[in-house]
Amino acid sequence: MRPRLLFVAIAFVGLGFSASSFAQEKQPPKEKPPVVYLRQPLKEGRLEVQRVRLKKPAEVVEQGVKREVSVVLEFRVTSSQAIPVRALDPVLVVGDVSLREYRYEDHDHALVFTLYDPEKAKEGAAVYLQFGNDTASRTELQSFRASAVKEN
Amino acid sequence: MNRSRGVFYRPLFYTAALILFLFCDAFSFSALPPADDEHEHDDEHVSRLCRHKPEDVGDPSKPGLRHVATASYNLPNTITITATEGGWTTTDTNVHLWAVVYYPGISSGANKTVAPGKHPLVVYLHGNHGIWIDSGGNHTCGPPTGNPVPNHEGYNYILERLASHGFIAVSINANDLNCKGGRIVARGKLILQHLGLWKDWDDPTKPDPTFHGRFHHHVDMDRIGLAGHSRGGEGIVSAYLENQSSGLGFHIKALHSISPVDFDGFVLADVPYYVLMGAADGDVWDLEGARIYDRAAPRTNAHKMPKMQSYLYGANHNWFNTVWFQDEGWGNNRLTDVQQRVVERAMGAAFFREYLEGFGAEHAIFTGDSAIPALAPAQFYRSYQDPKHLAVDDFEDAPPNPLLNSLGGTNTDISLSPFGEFPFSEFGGAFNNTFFQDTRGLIGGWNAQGTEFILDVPAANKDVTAYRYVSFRATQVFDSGALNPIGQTEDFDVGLEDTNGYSTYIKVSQFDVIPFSYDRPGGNASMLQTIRLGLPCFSCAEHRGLDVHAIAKIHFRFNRKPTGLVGLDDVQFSR
Repeated sequence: MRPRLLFVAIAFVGLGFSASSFAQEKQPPKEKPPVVYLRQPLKEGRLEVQRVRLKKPAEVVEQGVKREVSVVLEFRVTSSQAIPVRALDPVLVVGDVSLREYRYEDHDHALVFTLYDPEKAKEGAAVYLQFGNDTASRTELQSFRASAVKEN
Repeated sequence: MNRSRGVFYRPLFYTAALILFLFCDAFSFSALPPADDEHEHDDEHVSRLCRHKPEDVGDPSKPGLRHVATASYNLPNTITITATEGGWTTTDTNVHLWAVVYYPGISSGANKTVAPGKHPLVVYLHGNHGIWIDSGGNHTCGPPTGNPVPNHEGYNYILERLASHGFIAVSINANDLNCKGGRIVARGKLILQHLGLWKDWDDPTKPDPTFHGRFHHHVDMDRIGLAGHSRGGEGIVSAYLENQSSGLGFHIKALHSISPVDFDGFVLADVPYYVLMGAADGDVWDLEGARIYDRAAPRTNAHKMPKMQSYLYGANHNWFNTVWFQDEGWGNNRLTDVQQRVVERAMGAAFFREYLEGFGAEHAIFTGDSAIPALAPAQFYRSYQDPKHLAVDDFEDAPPNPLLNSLGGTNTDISLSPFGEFPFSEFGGAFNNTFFQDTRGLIGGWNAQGTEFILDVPAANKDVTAYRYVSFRATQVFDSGALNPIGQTEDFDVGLEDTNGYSTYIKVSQFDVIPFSYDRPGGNASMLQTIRLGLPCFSCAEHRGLDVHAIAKIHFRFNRKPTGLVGLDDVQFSR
């Protein structure tokens, strides 16, 4: 009896093993894509500011008032990661000014914001990037220094 | 003849009355004996007996009977869109008019002849996302690779289903507005441009170099629905409002947003609106669609539209679009991408069948009177407001006073602590930082028996026979387990009292669930949902006293859990 019981037990274990293996073969586990957490600061976020003299004056319409500008400040935020393209807009805050007009560059490793009124950037103003009102995504950047502005 | 009919019918009448009496009597019991003038209905059968019969709507996510044909267009001429938003005017040039189309055909396949008849038009619009596929398969904003991201093709799963139900379903590409700030109003203008194309394609007097007359007399321009995801979800709202304000004359009859943003604070007042939101949204983490819902049908114009909301536990932002493969989800107990889309396929189809085809029965999915078993294991919690309602208290009166309701009646607080009106908002003044809506409501907490909140119904409004439900919105306030134990559902009683002092109480959990908030580590949200309690349930005991022609008070009696903390809003009698 004992060898027979042992055989039956082995057979059950074997069946169970082969059944689970079969199930795995038939329905391989779907590879789960990694979760990309958007609600965090950028990795190695850096800021460069450049004064740009436009070849052709740009027309800016703010509060219905049209004006032309020929000199702007461009705030270029770079990161070692691709900066996410989100539903929520990236906003660059320079002191009490919020910049909302931007373009992505360099395979999304750079975001360039335009300040049409360069005089609004105050010396020593704190600068950070944030997506909408998602404070968890805030990336603190260097304070604004007029002396660090590159000329184009 | 009359006499003989009376003889014939009278026994049936008495039999029915006896059965009704026995049913009411049999199910009127309670663990605790009710007070002399109170009658509790504390059995699950009561909810079935007194509730309106759930309507059998089938599974709207199943294919319809039509053959599905497909087409696409990308017109050779581009357009320029100038739009003003947030005080800034932007101009986008070289915007393509590009879309994919699914429609009922005489047979299935590409570019088949349209099935006979006029078909309602539904237009989808995607949101902000990368527009170029780079060599690594990443979706980026540039530089251009010559391989554009087909963002608009991510909704084919619902377009196909809508077409099988008889809709011409279109999804617009808005790549030319992506990777830029805002562009909500611009998106709305893009939609309106496409509607103009469809108007012409329906009209045999207009030249049609694109489809060569395939859609002549087949597009029902009197029944247009718009749907949008993410920024597209607000873009459709902008399109609707601009269509009205500019007098463009498109007959847009239904709006459906999926996880929308709320950049511009638009207010809808007169169009059926349905918002579907994922509770695990890691992009629009503050669930901005709830704000659009809350502002819609404002109290000054509250009776022109139904509005509905589904708050889907475990769903992220991206996966409603099959092209947006990245998982940005934030939270536990997640749905798969397929499970998320099953919900949109069912609910989107149900919404447009209801409000463009007039199916009527599908209404019950949004009110909670019907469930769709095929959506399991998805858990979603609804809000619904019927245009026909009497607002007893929306807690929006100025100055805020929790002891005075919107009808001018007195509210009574019995020992609730905390107790007060608060903004249910992330923008200051909220009870805590778990609120993301755009409404004011009542916060009430308890840690002892005997607490209650009572709203007096003024004599002028005492006859509620025109309504079918006592309706209110409720949420467990997430308080890290202080008063609401982690992971447990909430429960309490709601009672009606008539002018004779007779009252009947209903246990909320017999009808619906007030769930614990979705688990998002470090960011749980307290999200209101609508509970609708059928008036027949309260008036089942009418034979013994409760007079629904003379309701004097609504009671919220917090006696089912030893401790609790709830938010309440929009206490109504409703159809």
